[in-house]
Amino acid sequence: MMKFNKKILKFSRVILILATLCLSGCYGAYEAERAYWLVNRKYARFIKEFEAADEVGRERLISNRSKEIIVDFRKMIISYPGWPPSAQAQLMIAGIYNTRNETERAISEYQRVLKEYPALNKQCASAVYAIAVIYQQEGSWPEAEENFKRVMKEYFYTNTGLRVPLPFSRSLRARGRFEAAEDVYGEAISKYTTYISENPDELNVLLALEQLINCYGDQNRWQEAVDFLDNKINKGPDTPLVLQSLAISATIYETHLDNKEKAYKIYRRVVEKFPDSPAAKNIKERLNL
Amino acid sequence: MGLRNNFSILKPVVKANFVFLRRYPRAFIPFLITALASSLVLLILYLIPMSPLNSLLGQPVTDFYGAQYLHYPYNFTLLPRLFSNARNFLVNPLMGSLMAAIAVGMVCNYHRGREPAFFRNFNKAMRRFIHIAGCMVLMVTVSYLLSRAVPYLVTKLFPGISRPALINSAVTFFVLAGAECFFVYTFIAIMYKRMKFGGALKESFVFSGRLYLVTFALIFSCRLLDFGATLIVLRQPYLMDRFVPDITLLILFFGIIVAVFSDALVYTLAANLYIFKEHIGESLSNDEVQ
Repeated sequence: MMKFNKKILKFSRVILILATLCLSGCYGAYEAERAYWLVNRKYARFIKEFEAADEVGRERLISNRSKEIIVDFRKMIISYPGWPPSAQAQLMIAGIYNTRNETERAISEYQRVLKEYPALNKQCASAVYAIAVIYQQEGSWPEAEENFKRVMKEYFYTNTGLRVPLPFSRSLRARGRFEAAEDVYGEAISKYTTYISENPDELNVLLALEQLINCYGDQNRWQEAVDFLDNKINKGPDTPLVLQSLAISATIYETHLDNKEKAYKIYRRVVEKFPDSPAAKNIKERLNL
Repeated sequence: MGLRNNFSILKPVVKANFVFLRRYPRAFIPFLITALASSLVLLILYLIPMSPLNSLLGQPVTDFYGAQYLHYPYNFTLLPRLFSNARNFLVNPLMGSLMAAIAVGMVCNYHRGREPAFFRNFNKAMRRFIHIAGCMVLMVTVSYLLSRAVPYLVTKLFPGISRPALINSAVTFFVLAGAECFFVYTFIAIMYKRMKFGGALKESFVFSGRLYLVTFALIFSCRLLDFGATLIVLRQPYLMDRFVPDITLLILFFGIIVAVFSDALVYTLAANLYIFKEHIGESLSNDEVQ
């Protein structure tokens, strides 16, 4: 009996140590996620109320509730420094200052992301892009251009980075800087094609393909676009990338190159190769296949 | 024996059961132990997204369900399903069956005029564990298959019904209560008549066939408690949005507590009914009718 009691005592000690470990924050990443999600839900509800409110209501919401949400995000950052959700919280704080039209403060908050979380490319890309957009809206073109270029150079292969060349080159065109815009398109096309060829199974590759076609389209280089798709992607194995590439090729042949015969041939290929895909269903309905 | 006579046995059985539970509240101990084991499993499943458990169990969750379920708050949308599977296929066959058999053994002791002792029945149940666990595995498997088949059939037969989740749950509950009637006497046959797996199953089927409506009435009324907990689980998405996603833990824990009472009532009532019917029932029920 004594031995049994001693065993129970030992077992309960182990349980106690495990429970203490669990409750003492050794699961920081999860707790950081939780804290971020809870504050973010508060923020989402604030945005919902903000969008539904009139001018007076909006001002009142901004002056009262936004401060409270910023404080909550800051508390979260202090509690979980260094975790990715904290970088996300820092981005949210900067976004709130931007909504309050405190752009200088917003920029300095975005810069804190770059300073405190340099390893988190996704968040850093979002911060630099947001800074570029703020400068663009204020008409400070050199600073905006510098930040757009920084995203393209340092964070191109992030979700934000892949989306940057189009707005950047379009803004350059809008200001009459056609040569600079062509350079941006050229650099982007080269990076997109390399990325797609080397990483066909990456999640972001569909986004890269979409952006690449938009770059060709902005320059009216449709033939080059379909040449790239035909030679580099369409002959590959049956992947989502090939499905999207075939669908895009057919659309370009049909609407921009006026080659309906070729387009229908590719549409049929989509239906044959990917019969269960939503794209194939649309094609079947449209062409009565 | 007519239907009226069959139901007349209910009153003395229920009365005897409450007298037994009031006199020996220790009969709840086996079910409390099962609840403790269920709570421990719930805690482990809750801790999967966190270190150090995520290095061990994170990969299976990613492979079977997806990586998003290792992140807040998606882990709480998966938790009820994981917990239900763990409870049905791990806790109930290993622990629940043994504990239910102990409780049934305590009822047998009571009727034989002996002190209902936990450890004596534990030893007895352990010696027949294979038969007890086998019956529980069969019961759980049948319940699982029915809980899959019934919603499928309801959706196929009545497409476009309003509130399908509620209707499915209600119909499934009804069918499961009906199916449980055939298995509920297996433990008493093993503990009281020392039968083996096959014999106990046969005895349970024959006995519940003789007293099907009475058994169904007993099980249905006790399992209504569980159905209440199921209804709260159905409201989980709303409650998660209204309060915090962590409320799922509280909902599931509430289900565990409710199961202590519903299981205790189902197994002790079934055991009392069986013993009454086997030995005292005939004369007692005749007295009641007169």
